[in-house]
Amino acid sequence: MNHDSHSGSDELFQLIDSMIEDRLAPDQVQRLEHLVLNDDHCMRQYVNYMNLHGNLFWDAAYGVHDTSIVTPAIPTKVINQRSPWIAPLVTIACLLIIAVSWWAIQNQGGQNPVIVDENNNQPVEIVEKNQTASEESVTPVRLPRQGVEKQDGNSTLANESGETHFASSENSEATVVKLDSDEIVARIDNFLQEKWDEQNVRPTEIANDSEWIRRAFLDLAGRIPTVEETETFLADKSRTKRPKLVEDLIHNGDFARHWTTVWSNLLVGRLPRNSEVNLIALREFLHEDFSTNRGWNETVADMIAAEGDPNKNGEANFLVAHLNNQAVPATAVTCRLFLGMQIQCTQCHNHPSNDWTQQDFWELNSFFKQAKVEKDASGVQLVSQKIGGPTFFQSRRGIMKVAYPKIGKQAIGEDAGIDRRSELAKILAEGGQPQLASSMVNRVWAHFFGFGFVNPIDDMGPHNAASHPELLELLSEQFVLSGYDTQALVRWITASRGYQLSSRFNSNNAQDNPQIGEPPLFSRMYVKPMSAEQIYDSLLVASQKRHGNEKAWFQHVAQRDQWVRQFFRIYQTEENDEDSQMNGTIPQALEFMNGALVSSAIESKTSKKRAKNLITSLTEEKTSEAAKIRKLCLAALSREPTNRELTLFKKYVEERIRKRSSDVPRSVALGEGLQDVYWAYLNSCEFVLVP
Amino acid sequence: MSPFFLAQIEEVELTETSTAVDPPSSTEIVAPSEEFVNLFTKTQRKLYLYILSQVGSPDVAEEILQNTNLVIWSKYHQFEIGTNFQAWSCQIATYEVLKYRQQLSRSKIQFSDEFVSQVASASEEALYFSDEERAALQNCLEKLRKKDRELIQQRYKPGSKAKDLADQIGRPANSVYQSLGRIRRTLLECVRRQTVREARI
Repeated sequence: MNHDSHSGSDELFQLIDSMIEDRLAPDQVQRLEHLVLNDDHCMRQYVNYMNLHGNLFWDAAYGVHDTSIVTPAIPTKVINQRSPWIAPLVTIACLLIIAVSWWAIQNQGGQNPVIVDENNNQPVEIVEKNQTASEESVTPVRLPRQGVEKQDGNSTLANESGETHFASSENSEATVVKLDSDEIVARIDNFLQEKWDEQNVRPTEIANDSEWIRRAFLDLAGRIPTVEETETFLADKSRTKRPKLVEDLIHNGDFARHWTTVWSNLLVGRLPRNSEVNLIALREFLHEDFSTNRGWNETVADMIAAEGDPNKNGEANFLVAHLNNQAVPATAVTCRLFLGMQIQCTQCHNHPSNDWTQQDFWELNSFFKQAKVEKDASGVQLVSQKIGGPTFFQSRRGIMKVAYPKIGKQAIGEDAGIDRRSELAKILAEGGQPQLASSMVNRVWAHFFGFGFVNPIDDMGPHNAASHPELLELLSEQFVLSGYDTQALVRWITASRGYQLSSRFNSNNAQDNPQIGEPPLFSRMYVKPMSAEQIYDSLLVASQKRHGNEKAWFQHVAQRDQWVRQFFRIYQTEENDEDSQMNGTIPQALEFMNGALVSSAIESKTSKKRAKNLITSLTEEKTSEAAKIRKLCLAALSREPTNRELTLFKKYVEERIRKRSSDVPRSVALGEGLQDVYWAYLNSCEFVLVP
Repeated sequence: MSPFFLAQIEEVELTETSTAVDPPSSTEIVAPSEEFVNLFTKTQRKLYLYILSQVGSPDVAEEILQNTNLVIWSKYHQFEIGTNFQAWSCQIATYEVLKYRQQLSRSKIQFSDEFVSQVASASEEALYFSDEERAALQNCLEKLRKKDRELIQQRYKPGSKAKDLADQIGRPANSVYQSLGRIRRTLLECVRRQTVREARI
């Protein structure tokens, strides 16, 4: 739908609305005619909109069954008045006909209670302008209107068509068509706009480039941009620089690396309690799949059906991490991560709010019955034992129950010879559980927007309505049609208008506040806190230490793990949970203020082995103090400093130089001043938030 | 059913048996077939929509529908079962619209002939998708927020006017108009999406 027709339609709809309310002036009538007659599209819009009104009127009056009969007035004009007694005879005959057909239909059709509508009991008189003496007018009878009866499912009579022109549409589903990227993005924008209109909110303005580049880098590459990257982007005048940046970050592998980190954390956590888990192997597996943009369904299938040595087969690590305790964690985590549903409660009883039962839980669990982690002298193996049969569990009342492998409506045999996990993998990969797609879409959306359509993002179900159900459905369908192409999904999302918006509230969208429980409208970007890994990587960028290629990346990750682990500890739950302290607590604050990372970022030493870091380079540059401060701000916060900041920090640095002028050379004092400024920037809230 | 109607039926059944005289006219009065009655019933709403698009006022459209039905019933024997009932009845409706427009002093909206004839043909075409749209509309109404759905239901209740509705619920009329417009547009888009027939714009 292009913009012109959209605004033209608005005017058209307003005119039509006025017309229906009897508020249309003659000159407006002309305008309406002009619009409709001069444009086919407007004509169609006119007809569609009038039909909408008409249907609403009709349904309100006659109910949804279309079994109403609006009986005509007794025919008057056809009466042949030549014989005086024809008239009454024909009248009677017509009444008889009506009566007969009335009974016939009543006996055939549904049981609709006929409710007499008080307002319409008066017979309607038709006033004939051209009354001739020979015509008699008989007061017509209008049948009382039928009450509206709510019926679930499709109305039966309305669609039994005797006509052969069109196929019955109600029961045939429209086949889903694969759309191209632009179309999908347009629809995303449409759906978001629709909700904004519906809720009467205006979206916030578009984020400026500084906000946006920082957001894009953090979301896609897991770090802030360098000064060079920021300056290049800000100076770029191209209108397509934003999608191009996304492309670059995908193309150069940054996204695949970041995505590996994200999923490694989700799948086994930062502190896998099971010592057999080989994080590196898992990450290698994930990285391989993400770099080659393998379909997500296949990656999941691999992890479900994995076998062998987890040190060699990275995909085995997922289950190895969770097969403890009768595979209860495996069941719960599989369902939560891949299907977006929280079922850990249902191990012991039916879920209080979604529709999972205890039986469902154990049926899913049955799929993992054959899986076992075997340890011997030679090493560790994830194997599939050739066993079959039921899984026993106890209901809350102590009754022993039995479960066979089943997920949703799909059951597989209980035979020992059937490889259950292999079957489950197939079911998931081949679209047997559409939840695989919609939960991933929800999750990826939340990755970029801070909130999903359903929140919490892994608690989908009938008890938790999506904020934009059709949009979720559209993206899920297209995700499947694309072959579960994660990169495509990322492109659609990052190209949408919603992703361009700033995070500020405006005067109009204060209600769009999912942080306090309101349904998200995405009329502004929701600020996200950085993850531990993002802080680490960003601090490295801030100290101008870049990790380059993949080999170096794994080393980098190992070091990063060490730093990150100090903020996490293991929970003893049924899900092998972790607890993060990355939330402004004292250890974090201390780390920030005095930790090695930040120190290294702001240090001013040089050694022959390392390149000069930021402070040193700045000190040596022949630029003004304002320019140096500007660089620091760009490096830490990806933006230009405000005037206030410039004034404040300039003054501070000059003070510093003055104070130390008797003890150290000017350059050293300058360096110290700049260090302090940088420290301030790095310790700001702004630094640890994704804008 | 109203007692009045019941009384009429009794009246008819009683008097029918007492009329033994053959009417002078040789036309045999045959009751319209069940098929005809079926077709008639199913086309009612479509005729209403067809007429409404041409005259622009829901009240006027209902009146014209009544007149049309009159003619349909009187001419039922002229319709050949198996042919296109929709087209046949639409033609009758067209004439009734024409007749009504000849009394234009009463109507508040005066469309040109050109407009009416073009709209008539576009509208008749659209009727073929009418059932689909109607079903989609039911769906879409369910998807509205409860508040919005209730507002719509109130507005379209027979005899209701938006202005009265505004007074009733204590909101300024303009605000109610705006809300209604917004909700209708939402519904329109929703229905459009569900009825896959047009190539994407």
